Amino acid sequence: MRPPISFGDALRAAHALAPQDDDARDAILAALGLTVSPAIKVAAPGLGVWKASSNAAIGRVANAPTVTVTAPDAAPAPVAPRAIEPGSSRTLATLDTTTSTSSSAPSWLSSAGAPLDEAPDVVPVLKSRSLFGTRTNRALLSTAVARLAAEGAPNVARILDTIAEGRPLRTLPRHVEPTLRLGADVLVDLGCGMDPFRQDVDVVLERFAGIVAADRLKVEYFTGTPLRGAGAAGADVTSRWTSTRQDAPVVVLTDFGIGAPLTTRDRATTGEWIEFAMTVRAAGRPLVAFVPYEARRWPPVLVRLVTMIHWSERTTAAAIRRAVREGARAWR
Amino acid sequence: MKFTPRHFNPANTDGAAVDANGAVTAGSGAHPGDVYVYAPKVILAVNIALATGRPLLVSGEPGSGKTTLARNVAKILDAWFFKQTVTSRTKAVDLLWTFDTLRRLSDAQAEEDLPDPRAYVEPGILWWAFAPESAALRGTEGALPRVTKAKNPGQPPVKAKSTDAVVLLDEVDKADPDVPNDLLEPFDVSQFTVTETGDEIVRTRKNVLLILTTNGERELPPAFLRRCVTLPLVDEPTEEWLVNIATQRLSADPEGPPDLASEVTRMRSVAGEVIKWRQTALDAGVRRPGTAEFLDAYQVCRELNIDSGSPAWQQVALSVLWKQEKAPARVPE
Repeated sequence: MRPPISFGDALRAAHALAPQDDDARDAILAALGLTVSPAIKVAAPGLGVWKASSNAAIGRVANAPTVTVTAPDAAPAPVAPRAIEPGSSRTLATLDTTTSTSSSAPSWLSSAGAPLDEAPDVVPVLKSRSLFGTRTNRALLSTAVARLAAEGAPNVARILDTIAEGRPLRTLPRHVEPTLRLGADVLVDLGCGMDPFRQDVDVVLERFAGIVAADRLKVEYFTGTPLRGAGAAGADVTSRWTSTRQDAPVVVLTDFGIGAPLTTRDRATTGEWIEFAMTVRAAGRPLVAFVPYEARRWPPVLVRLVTMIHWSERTTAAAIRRAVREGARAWR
Repeated sequence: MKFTPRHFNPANTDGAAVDANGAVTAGSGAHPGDVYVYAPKVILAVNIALATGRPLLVSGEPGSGKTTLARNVAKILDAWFFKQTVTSRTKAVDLLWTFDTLRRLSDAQAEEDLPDPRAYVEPGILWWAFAPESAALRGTEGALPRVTKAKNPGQPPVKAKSTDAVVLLDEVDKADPDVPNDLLEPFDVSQFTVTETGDEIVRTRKNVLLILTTNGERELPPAFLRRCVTLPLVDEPTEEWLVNIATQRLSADPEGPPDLASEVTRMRSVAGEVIKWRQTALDAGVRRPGTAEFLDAYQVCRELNIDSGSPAWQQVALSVLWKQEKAPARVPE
């Protein structure tokens, strides 16, 4: 495949279109996914200055804000340990730590040092690390939600078997392939046990919106279990969850109460979760749960009824695929 | 915005008109795609795609004119036009060819003497765009017994000698997330091999413009976006814009009214209503009616002789402009 759009494409476009003002130049670069930066000058006819916006900057941006700290005037003198006198009953409690072999306190102790530069106006915000890595979360979620459908190439082996046995070929058997076209119903646990993971929930929901078509993605919220009540954001959550679709997987973002205090009402019983799992099963739909705690903490009974995926930065697509396959087998 | 539209200039077509903002109205005819009003940024984007040889990704709400743009570009370039709407089942290889396995199996059960496997090869739109001669022969070098010639699915240009092609892949966001990247691969290669027959097909047509459209219903992969020239079409029509579009369409319609001036009054009235309904939809957080809905509503009013002030208009507006299950809390007056 051709490499991504780069400066060469910009030059080609500029040569062909001969932009005569900044608006035209900026529009060319914007259409190619490139932007203008005043920091870097490039001798390109008709282009002026530019910086790649989608790739790493070609050059460093000048005048970036910096904070300088002055070094101390002199390195502090090392404190040499006192020789221990034989026979003395010295313990840590009696050890005189104020005595040092240096004759005076280090200079940095008395000197105030040069003042720090003023802090920049824009303080960089530390990025939080999401449970699923940014680069891989799309693949991980796609693997968890994709359903297998017999829509691939014709399965010649099965065709030949059918013909060889003298049976009529009523439909064309095809290879099974994963697809996301069925969409997904996502149920988000609002219980207090999930509070530490709210940001991760937002990331996952945003990612789902990117991989599943908008008209096939349904997001609802609940506390306890969805059977206590579930609804869309801002809507009434007192109506018991019911399945309104066939085939599309049900994905639950929950800790199953693992992280919640024992006495809170947010925490549902195992029996309630079993009832929910059986409801989904009766609707003929796969049930997948993203759980932000390790497998050893999962309720054992639920492991047999729900395809559980450890929501962690160490989770791999292969592990998810395995879990989904095992879950599908257990479902049957 | 000043530039030289070297590869694509709708202002140079017969009957083209340029307004004060630099927008060019080009083409004539009553069918969708016959007439298009080109904003300068649209002309620029098409030129960039042609100059760099990159696909043009047009994004916008349904009804914002993405498909119409592609048809009109093909018309102005006088190129072959191939169109395929992408579905959730589309695979990249389908754009090159499909093999009718079931028909071959059926023939095998019915007959003893099967034709050459090439008889079951159906060239896809990219094959037709890249190498039309070999597509017509299904990959054979000469005629083979019982291998019929394939029918070209494209729309021919006006001038028979034109060698350019425009390929439209509509609604690429409907496919599974990995498919858009796969779609670009056959576009980049200069040859491919038909798996079932082993025939190597070499690209013979040089100038092929690939236009992809997306309604933005699903995020497209970053690797795909970095290989496309992007053109967001924001459908923010004004009353003047809508009246202009409708006038152009109507003036070229052989079955149009004899008195265009009287129709302009109706157009203005309907256009004004559309602007009001757009605000109502925005307030309600639902999809706003656009140019396509305006043309439909105007057509209904013209054919059924409905005025925008009449009681029947309300029903027209709800059915053609609003299109939601429940009526709005407050209907525009």
